[in-house]
Amino acid sequence: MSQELKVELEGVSREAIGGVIEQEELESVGAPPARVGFWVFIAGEVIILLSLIASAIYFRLTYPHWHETSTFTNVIISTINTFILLTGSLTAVLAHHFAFADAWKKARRYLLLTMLCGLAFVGMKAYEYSLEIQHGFYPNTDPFWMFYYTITGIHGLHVFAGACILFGVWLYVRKTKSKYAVENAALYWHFVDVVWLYIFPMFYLT
Amino acid sequence: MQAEHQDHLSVAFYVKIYVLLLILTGASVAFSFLLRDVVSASVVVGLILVLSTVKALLIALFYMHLRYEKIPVRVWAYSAIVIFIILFILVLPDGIVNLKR
Repeated sequence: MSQELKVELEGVSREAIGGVIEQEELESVGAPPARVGFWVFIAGEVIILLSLIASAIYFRLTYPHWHETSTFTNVIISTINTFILLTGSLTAVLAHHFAFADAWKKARRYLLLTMLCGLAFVGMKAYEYSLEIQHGFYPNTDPFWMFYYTITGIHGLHVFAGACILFGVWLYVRKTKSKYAVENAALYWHFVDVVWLYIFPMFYLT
Repeated sequence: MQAEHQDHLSVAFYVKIYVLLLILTGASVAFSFLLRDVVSASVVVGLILVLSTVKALLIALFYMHLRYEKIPVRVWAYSAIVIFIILFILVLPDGIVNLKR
């Protein structure tokens, strides 16, 4: 690297370089690298979680007591949790919307609201588990409960991870104003929401 | 998301999608209770899964902006579903054997 170029680069702040890189799009894909990479990550996650759900669907076909056992799950709490996740999706997309509109105060506020939705979901889920355990439903009680605790537990961990990511991004964008950090956090939230849309009917409604 | 579509997606549009998602969720819960004794369980399951898929599509297309992404990004996104379907079909014979027992 020539001395002249080095001096020129040193004069540019890290944020400015990040901003330039952030706005570049991969020519062959037509999208920023951060977005492409995140979709690859989501694709992997989808396969893991949907494979678990598929195994539960296969089991449901052969297990005659699935429907009777599912009547013991709490529809009211799970419906409230669905409402919380969908509300989180709205606040996440609004955070994304305002970040791209350079309205950072609003974007950060909606990021925080989404994180609170995540924590509310995890709190409700923990309360629901406590009720089920009080009634004597453990993971080893029945194959239904094994699938129930495994799938909802892994999903709950994803929601908690989502809340942590949102908090991290909330802190990160305060200085960096990184639109793609907000976008990826929102994408992750929508992903856990979509997975729940299949978990909810499988264990609570059918 | 292509920049030209950013302006079309207003806050009001996102709120409309949210209301639609809530209505579909309410319909899923209502169907599971109201139709339980009217039609067979498999019909109820099928109907609720269709509603779930509609909700998932609304989120993927509009909240995740897949509708406005360029084709290579969409291919990445949909490839997971394709791989999942292949996995599902691969273990289908095992499921059928279990059903016949």
